[in-house]
This record gives sequence, structure tokens and C-alpha cells, in this order.
Amino acid sequence: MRALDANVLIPVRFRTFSYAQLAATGTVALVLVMVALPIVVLVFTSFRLTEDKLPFEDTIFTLQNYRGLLAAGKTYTVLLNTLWYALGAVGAGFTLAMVFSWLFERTNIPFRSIMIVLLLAPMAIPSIVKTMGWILLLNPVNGTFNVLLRDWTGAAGPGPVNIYSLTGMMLVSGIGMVPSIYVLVSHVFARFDVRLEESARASGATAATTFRRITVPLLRPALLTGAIFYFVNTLDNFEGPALLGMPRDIFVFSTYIYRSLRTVSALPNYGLTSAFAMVLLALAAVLVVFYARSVRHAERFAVVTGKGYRPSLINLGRWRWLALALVVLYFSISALLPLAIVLWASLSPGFSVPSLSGLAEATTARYVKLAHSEIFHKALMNTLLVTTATATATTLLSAVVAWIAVRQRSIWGKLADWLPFINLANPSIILASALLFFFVGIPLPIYGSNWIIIIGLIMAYLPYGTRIMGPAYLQIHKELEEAARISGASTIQTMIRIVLPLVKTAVWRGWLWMFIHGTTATTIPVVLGGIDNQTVTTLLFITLLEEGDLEMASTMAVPLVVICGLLTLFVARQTLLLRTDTN
Amino acid sequence: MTGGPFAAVPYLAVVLALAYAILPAPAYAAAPSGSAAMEELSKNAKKEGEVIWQLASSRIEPVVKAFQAKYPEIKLRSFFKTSRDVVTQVIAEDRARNQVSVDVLSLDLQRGTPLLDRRIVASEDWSKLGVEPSQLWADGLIVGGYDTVDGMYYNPQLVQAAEVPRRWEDLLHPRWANYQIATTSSGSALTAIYYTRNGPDADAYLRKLAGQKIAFEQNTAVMTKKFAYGEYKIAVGSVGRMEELQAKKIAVAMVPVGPVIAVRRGFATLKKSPHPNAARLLMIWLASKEGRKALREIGNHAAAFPCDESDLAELLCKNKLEIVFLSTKEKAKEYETFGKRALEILRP
Repeated sequence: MRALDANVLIPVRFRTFSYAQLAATGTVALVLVMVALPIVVLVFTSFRLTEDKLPFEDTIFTLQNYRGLLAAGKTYTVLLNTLWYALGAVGAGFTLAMVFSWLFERTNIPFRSIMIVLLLAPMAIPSIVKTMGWILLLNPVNGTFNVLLRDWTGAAGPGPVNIYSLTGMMLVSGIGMVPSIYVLVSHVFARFDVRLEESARASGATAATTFRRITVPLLRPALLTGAIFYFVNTLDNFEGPALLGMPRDIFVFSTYIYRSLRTVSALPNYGLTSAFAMVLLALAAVLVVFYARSVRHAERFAVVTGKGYRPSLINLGRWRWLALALVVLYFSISALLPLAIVLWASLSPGFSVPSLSGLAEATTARYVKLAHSEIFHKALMNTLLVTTATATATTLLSAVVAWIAVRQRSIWGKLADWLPFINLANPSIILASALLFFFVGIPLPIYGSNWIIIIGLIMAYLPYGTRIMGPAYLQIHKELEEAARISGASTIQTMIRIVLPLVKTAVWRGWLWMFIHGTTATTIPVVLGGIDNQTVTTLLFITLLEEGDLEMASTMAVPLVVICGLLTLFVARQTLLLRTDTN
Repeated sequence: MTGGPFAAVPYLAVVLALAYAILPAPAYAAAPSGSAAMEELSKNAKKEGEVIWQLASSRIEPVVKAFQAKYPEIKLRSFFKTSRDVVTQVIAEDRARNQVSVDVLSLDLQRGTPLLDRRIVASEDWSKLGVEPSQLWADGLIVGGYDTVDGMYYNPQLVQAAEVPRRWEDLLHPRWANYQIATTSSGSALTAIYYTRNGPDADAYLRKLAGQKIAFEQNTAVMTKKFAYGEYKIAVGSVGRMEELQAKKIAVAMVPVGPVIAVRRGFATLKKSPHPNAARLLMIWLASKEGRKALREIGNHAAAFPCDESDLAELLCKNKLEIVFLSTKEKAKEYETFGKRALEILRP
């Protein structure tokens, strides 16, 4: 029996080493390059004097950028604002996303499929358009809601609600990130084995104890990862703070960086901007350590084991209609309002606040113009190509990287876990500039093509991909893979036949997340765009921010929203999101 | 993994240096004078077959069509990028490559100075090619163009005629406190104050103005949009936006406080342009009466006098507003210095 065991196990171990180890090393090396490139450029640039130079030009190394940063009293106010803003936004976003995840994945809430599509589709609306919608509604001078409140209470203006505040920024950003967080965390709820809770209850635990001792610890790695991840991500959030904070001189790091880039000077001060970004990087590093400590014993959180698992639904009974009402209320505010604003803007003949009387003047002229625009057609094709390639490549790479991170005990595993996270703190403008400066000198047909944008987006989205895949792997016990190996399956066969089918939902959701975010990505396509690789967002950016044409920009956004909505529907079907509502 | 992506840099540098030495110089050669020069240029441009133009506005498509109608043999390919972004891109390309990816840039002196300082912009004897001297500036490196004018405008539905500011000091009245006035994040439009009084007096004025609490919006587009929705009573920024608002029947009128700053935007080609002849032909056309007319029709026109040159010029004349033209590198530099100083006071 011993000889037989040896015959079976030794070749398996050998194959595991030759393929898996090699693939792991190669993948981690690739990720290392993807992370190191922008970080090296960031560190290098932060020590360059770039007041009227680009970082690679003939200029000196200096500490001036850091001295300026530390000496400015405003830096500390900005730091404090940023922390509060990120905490508030992530707190609001996470709370809502968890409620929706629980309702959609664990309960029999009615019209679930429609609600999920409605929840996810607004991801395709450019956030600047959404934020403008909030301003129309809640600005203290003549925001529709404020005017109604004043009429009702007889109070004098401005106010009473002031969206131009730190609280306003937190709420708008928090609500805006709900779909994105939902994609990240909902599958954790979907895969949750309710029998663990039932066992606890059967053993005499109260509902509260079960929630505290069973539910929360099991969800902790995924939720903690998500919370830390979105916290770092929020540090780079721009549109909300720019539109709601900057007019009242409330700065967070992203808008502070913007201010240092967009001065009256001819060239952006990349050195100073990079020094700011280094602060974010340091903060991200601290959070990486915190995160690593919190998921040291990942295997404890596996809920899908070889003993079978059974996701089951909670019957809400009569409460399901109340739950539905709450969800509809949220949709009315967060999804239907921006969608209505976008549609209104695209159909209105000029500047006008939405009104019933204005509907009579609606025009499809902008749609006709877009339909005849060669530039828009080409940009749309580029967008579809770039986003499809980005979503597919990033999902595949994330699947491999996250698997290495979860399963490898070696240094490669730790690197695979930490490296993508670090890139998250690198502002998009620095990432895009690093790619521009790097690839412009490489004699390969990458610079100026769609490839450079795809590479940039893969680098930007890899942290998201690994965060979506990682928790999904964490929930699958190693014993399933061990059983496959003992049965003679290679690592690749195990991955394809055992692991991937179990994490299929995460794969599809990750892909959808990348695709939708790819369609609205702005900084990377704008900085790296040229004659052959312009995307719709580049046109949208110019139309909106250079020409101030919200109406045309909204018209351009509509095809993206439709495409993303249809894709959401398709992916939802693929991943069994659309289970029958009669459950 | 040792050395990462940079391990190949020395080899690439050698390859690039060799390529630079071996590859031929751009095909453009100085043309003979007069109409013969134009014919020669036109012939060579047609041989090149295309020209690549960076635009900062998608509205310029009718101009592209007008050029195509005139020169159907030359395919005009355009892409959209802000002046700021394209300047960084072109400098990086110029440093690393034998050829840049763009032929004609839309440029102003504020944003274009880095290209002029680095001698990346191609020079030409434009007068020999029939370009009017009035269409040449920045030592002939920038051709033709239009002005973007920074000034003040107000909402007549929210501001009584008697309340309209007539002097800079009027903006310090309490009625304009607490975010009634908006400008852009760079605060550049308020820099005009430095052209009305000496530095310390202007600084003192800006300190008082900062106490009024002005809203600093992300950019002109956002500010204009909020102004149009009635959120602000006075906006300080591009007057061109004001014309757009008027065209859309939004209540708006000029605040007669000057001077206004006119930033001239023109067109430049680069020493390493891929289609040097076609680039020159496009620029000559843009500076011609026909090209200027096409530009005017999409709202890009000169603020310069005579007063009947454009609606904008007429508006400025009617309000007797002095115009500060940023038409030389020195003036652009001075404006930049003023801008930084103003921003330090307004947004410490």
C-alpha cells in the first residue's frame, strides 16, 4: 500500500512543482513588473524638481516636494478630511451594499432580477453626470429638494440641506459605490452555508449570538478585505469631492492632487503630485499590513467543503414587501434619478431643469448626430474592444493571482496577495503617465494603440479582480483540491474541473465589474489616447469638461448604459443571479 | 526579474540612437517662394495623403469637413485631447522617438510655452506661403487662431440692474458674500486685477475678495452649468461660455468690469511631424479667410478689434472693456506669475 501511495503521489507532486510552481513564479513576476513600473516612476518623480519640466528631463533630484508637502499646514487638514471622507463613504456604501447583498442573495425578495440589473446598470453612468444630478436636487440655493423643503416649512434660503459639505461628499460617494461593493461582496453571501447558522441555533445559541459568533467571523475576511480595499480606493475618488467639496474649499487628497496638477502653470507639477501620491501609498502599505494580519488563517473561513454545501434562501414572509419598498426607495434615489437625469439631458434642447412642460420640447437631434459621427463609431468600437480585452485578461490574471495568494504558503503567495493591493493607492494620473513615459521609448507597436490602454486598465483593475476572486477561493476548502489531486488530476485539471466551476459566479461578476468600469474609465484612456485609440470616454471627457456640454455627454453615455445594462442581464443569467422569483 | 522592465533601457537607447542616425530626416524641405511655393507644398501634401490634428473640442468637426471639401485628396484625421495633456505627450514623444504622432496642435501661449522653450515647434516663413502677418504670432511659430476671453458675467434674473458691479470694489459688497460669485479652481480669471493696480494693492484687494467666500469650481464647464441652473449670480471665467448660454436663451449679461484676459489659441506644427507638408497646408488654410470663417461659424473667433469682427468683439466694445492679449511668451509668463500669486492669496 505504501508503494502504491508513492507511485500515485510522487508524480503528482512533481507535476505540481513543474507546472504550478512555474506558473506561480511567472505570474507573480508579471504582477511585480506591473506594480513596480508605476511605483518606480512614482518614487523617482517624487524626488524630481518638476516645476517646468517633465520628470525624465534635465532636472535635479530634490526633497523640495516633500518639504513643501510637510510644511503646508493645509496638508494635515486635507489628510484629516480624507480619512473622514473615506470612512464615511465606505461606511455608507458598505452598509447599503451588505443589506442588498443579504436581501438579494439570502432572501426571497420579489422582482430580484430586475432589481439587480437596476442596481448595477448605473455603474455605466459617468460619475460626474450622477453628481450633477445630486447637485440639481440638493444644492442649497435652488436644489429642487431644498426649494420644496423651504416652500413646505416657510424657511428662508439657502438650505436647509447643504450638499457642499463633507457629509454630502460622503453620502454621494457612498451611494455611488454601492453597486461596485455589491459585486465585490454579494457572492460571499450567495455561497454562505446556512447550515452553520442552523447548527448554532440548534445548539442553543440565540440569533444575536449566532450572528456574532458564526455569521460575522465567516464573512469577516471578505468584508474586511472589501472594506480596506474600498477605503484605499476612496482615497483616489475624485468626482464627488471635486464637484461637492472644492467649491467650498473642502479638499481631500484627490482634489488636492488635482489642484497641484491643474494650476495656471503650463506643465503639471508631477513631482509635487507624486509626493502627495506617496502619502497615499504609505497609507495603503499600513492597510496592507493590517489586512494581512486579519486573514492570517484563511482556511478557517472555508464554507464550501467536500462534505457538500447548500446555499438556501430565507423566507421573508410578509416583510418581503417592506424590503422591496426599501429597495425601490433606494433605487429611486440612486439609480432612477441619475438615469432620468442622463435621459433628460440627452433629449432636452438646451439647458433646462427637468420639468413636465420641458418634455414637449424633447429632441432626438443629438442621437441622430451621434449616429452619423464617424469619430463616435470608431470610439465606440475601440471602447468595446478595450473593455472586452481588459475584462477578460484581468479576470484571467486575477483568477490565477488570487489562487496563488490563497493557496501558496511561500513568499510568492504573499507577494501575489499584497502586490496588486499596493497599486490601488497609485493615482490613475500617475499610472497613466508612467505608462506614457515608459512605452513611448519602447519600439513595440503598443504606444498609441489600444494595447497601451488595455495594459493600463489591467494594472488599475488587477487589485479589484484579485479582491473579487480571493474571498471566493477562501470559501472553498483545500480538501476539494486535495481530493482531486489524490485522484490523479493535475493542478490545471483541478483548477478547470473543480475550482473554477465553484467560483464561476465570482469570475463572471469580476468580468462584469471590469467591463462596466472600463467603459467609464477616464484618466487612463484620456492620457494614453491618440489618433487610433480614442474611446467614448475620451470624447465624453472633452465634451463635458472642455465644452461644458452635459447634454451631448449624456447622449454619449446612453449607449454605454444600454450596453452595460444588457451585459448585466446576460451575466446575471450566466451566474444564476436570475433565479425564479417564486423562490 | 532583476532590473525589471528597465533592464532593457540601455539597449533600447542604443537602438533608438541608431534608428535616429539611420532613418531619413522628415521629407519636408523649404519650398520656393510665392504661389509656386504653395503649389509645391500642395503637391507634396497630397503625396503625404493625410494630416493628423489634435483638437480640444469636438465641435470643430464642421471645420474638418470644410477642409476635406477643399482638399479631398488629404485625409484629415483628428483626435481630441486637451492642450495640457497633448503638451506632455508631445514632449515625451519628441524625446524618445524619431517622429511624433501628431502634425498640427491647437495651442495657446499659456500651455504651449513648454513646446516653444524646447524648440519642438517647427518654424516657417509663413509670409512666403501667403499667410497674412496679422495671423502670425509667437515669432511666427503659431499661426491663425481665435481667442478665449476671461471676464465676468451675471444672471439678470437674479441681479437687479442697480446691483450690477461697475468696479472691482463693488464685488466686495456684502450682497456678493457666501458663494454668490463663482470662478474656476485655478482662479486665473481673477488675475486680471493685477493689470489694474500695482502688485501690493492687487494683493490687498484679493485678500478682501477671499473674505467674501467665492466658490471655486472644478473648471469653466462645471461653473457655467451651475450658473445656468441659477446657482450663482456672478461667474468669472470664459466669456465664450456666456455666448453659448445666450444662444441657448439663458439669462446672462456681461459685468462691465475690465480688463478681460484674451488667451489666443492658434495652430502649430512640430519639427518631427509625420506629415510636414500636409500640416503646413492645413495651417495655412486655417489662417486663411475661408478657414477663419469656418472657425467663426463654430464660435471660435478673435476677440480683437474691429468691433464688428465677431459678436464677442462687439460685446467687449459695447462694454468698453480693455483687453489684455496674451500674445507673447513674456506676457504669458507674467500672467502665469500673477495667477500663482492670486491663487496663493485666494486659496492659501
